[in-house]
Amino acid sequence: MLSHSQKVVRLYRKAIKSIRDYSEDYDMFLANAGDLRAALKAGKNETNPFHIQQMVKQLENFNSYWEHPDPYIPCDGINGTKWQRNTAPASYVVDPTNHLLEGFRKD
Amino acid sequence: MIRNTFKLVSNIAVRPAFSSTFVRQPIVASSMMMRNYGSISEKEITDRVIDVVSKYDKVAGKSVQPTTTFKELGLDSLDSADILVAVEEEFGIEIPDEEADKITSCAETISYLRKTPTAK
Repeated sequence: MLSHSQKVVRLYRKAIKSIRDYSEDYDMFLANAGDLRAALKAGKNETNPFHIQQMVKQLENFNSYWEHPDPYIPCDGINGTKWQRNTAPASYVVDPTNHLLEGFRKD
Repeated sequence: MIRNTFKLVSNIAVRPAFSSTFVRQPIVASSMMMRNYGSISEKEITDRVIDVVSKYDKVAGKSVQPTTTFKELGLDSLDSADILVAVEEEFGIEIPDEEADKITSCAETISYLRKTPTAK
């Protein structure tokens, strides 16, 4: 079970990454990330649980609306361009000697 | 004479070389076989992490040490999320949310990067 702050931080990370994926340059990223940050900061001292829930819902809606169809993935990351390319071959492919006899070895 | 020469050569030159090349050695992963993963030294990781952290605008003018926590720099949880996204970009990795929750200092960032073989 996630605490509230963990939940908000994860949503924020997701939102920042969506903004990054949509931004064509760094200035655009900074402006949009600043807006998002200001919106979150505005609700920092909110104590009414209903309003808090509403704001979390807003952030979730933001994330689902702005989820990029083709996000940036690091090449080694899951589903990146290098993901599971050229994995190391099994040892018997490199050196088949004694492979079949392995069960009969005494050592 | 030919026989003697052959015998001499085969005893001295050919046989030992033949037997020594065909003795099977256990396969040890040499550096040639491995990808260049995990090749960044701890010092380089430390320098780059400190560079990324000290470029964050709320940290400007504060001294960042490898042992500094984000709280000591006056950063809240969203700031550290920002910094982790910057670190991800710097090292070309993706830090999963479960790991990112636990990272609250430069030292933890560095130790996470040390454990990540795909960090570049």
